[in-house]
Amino acid sequence: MTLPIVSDPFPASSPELETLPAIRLDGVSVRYRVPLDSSVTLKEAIVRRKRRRYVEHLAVDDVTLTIGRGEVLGVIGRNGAGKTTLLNVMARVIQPVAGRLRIHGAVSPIIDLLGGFHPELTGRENVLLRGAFLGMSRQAMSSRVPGIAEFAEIGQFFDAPMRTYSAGMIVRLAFAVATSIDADILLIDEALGVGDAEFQSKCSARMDEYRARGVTFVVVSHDVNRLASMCHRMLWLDGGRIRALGTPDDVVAQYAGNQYAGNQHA
Amino acid sequence: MNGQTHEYDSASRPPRALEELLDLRAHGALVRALVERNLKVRYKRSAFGFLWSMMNPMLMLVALSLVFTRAFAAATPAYPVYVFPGLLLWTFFAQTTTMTGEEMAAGELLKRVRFPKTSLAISTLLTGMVNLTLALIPLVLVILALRRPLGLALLTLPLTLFFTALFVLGVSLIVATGALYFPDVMPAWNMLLPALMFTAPIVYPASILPSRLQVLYRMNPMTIYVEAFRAPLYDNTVPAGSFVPMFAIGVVTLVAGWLLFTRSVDDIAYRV
Repeated sequence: MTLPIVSDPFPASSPELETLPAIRLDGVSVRYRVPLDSSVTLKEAIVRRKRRRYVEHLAVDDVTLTIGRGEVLGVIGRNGAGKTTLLNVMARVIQPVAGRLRIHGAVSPIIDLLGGFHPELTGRENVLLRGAFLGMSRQAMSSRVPGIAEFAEIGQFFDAPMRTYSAGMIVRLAFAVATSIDADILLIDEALGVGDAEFQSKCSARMDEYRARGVTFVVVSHDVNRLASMCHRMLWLDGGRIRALGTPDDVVAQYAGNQYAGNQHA
Repeated sequence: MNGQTHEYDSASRPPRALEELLDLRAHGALVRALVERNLKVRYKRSAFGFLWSMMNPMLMLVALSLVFTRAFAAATPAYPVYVFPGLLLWTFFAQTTTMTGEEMAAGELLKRVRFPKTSLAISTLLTGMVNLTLALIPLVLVILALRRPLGLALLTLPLTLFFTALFVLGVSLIVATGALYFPDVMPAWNMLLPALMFTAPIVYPASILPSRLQVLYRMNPMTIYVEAFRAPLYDNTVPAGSFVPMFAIGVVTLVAGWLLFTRSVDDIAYRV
């Protein structure tokens, strides 16, 4: 059974889309070269003229998408559907092989929580380092340090090396840093469900603050129902392609139907 | 939130080498933050701190001095003062290129965070320059102990060091580009470095080489930097004739490395 692909990318819920886009992707594709055998050494490459064998994997395949300012877009799909790759394209960690990407506004990615943190540095030092990676000036970041320490609630660990942190503490600190800079666009990968209930409600409160300010969200999660409750639109990625794009109810229904159909076959 | 513009259009990007420069400017705090990271990580957890990074050239100095002071007495009356500056500059060259290459080859940061990747090479270079500057203290102590002349020629050291930095950054970026593509480049480079050291007149005075080998050591580009760095420290002479070639070799190497590296580094994401 094949489901119709929703073609209308601009449902009534977001009228500002065409006039004020935050992110526009036109025919964006990302291709990975996946090596099939173990890596070819320089010697083999030169002496035996051995070429490494690759399969080309289209992780994102011809995606055209406009995300409006202030929109909350949820991205769902199975493992390997290209969700994280798509976020990484928007964060410009990965350059697409084809297509055009336009971004209007400052981006704060919460994709890779560990990226840029160093285990030997303290939380405080890592905050300044992460800020520098995000393009913040030293002064601007220093003034945010107290607020970040307070939000992350890691107490005296803030001045201890990060290798002593629990996973939850790292997540809290990463979240506090990413949401401390005045971003226009937040890219979030699975970070929502982490932390205890109290911290989660704090995160939700901060998200609401951001939404009220008109910050654009792109959120990837496997928690489909939770995601549906907070999004304007949802995007279902399947094999790197857009399978469905529309209101949360529509997309969740199609996604659930497909999963049910898949289970029937199995 | 900061100095960078937040409008991006992949269809109107500047040339990659230039884009990297603009990106560095937009991440104005990054190089300094990375230098601090390098220094803290290196020195924080050890009681002897930066002495560890000096151990290698120091031990080399002692060993070489014991062996060669008498052998090279005719050509180099104060052998320890002759050998020490060369060892320090070579250590700077070797450590900077190796660390840059290894950090790029590890690749974790490159695939996870968006930032100008040349900042890793530049911060490693600056970290090495800090270490080298600190190492001038024991060097001066050795010079004073052996009662060698110290004078105004020392004022040429910052200029020589600047030209050396251009060259070392260029080589770092070239080695790093190779390391991005082939896992064998770093082991090969690590193996090659000690051999390369002996093609430059660091351990031995150039005058002991037979005339048909004189051309050979001139072919090592580090030779001119080592000699210019050593001249004011060894006998208070100004290496006047070296500045133009040092600048030229440095700029050409850096431009080549910059173009090569910035052209290749975005490719890393495809090679998972």
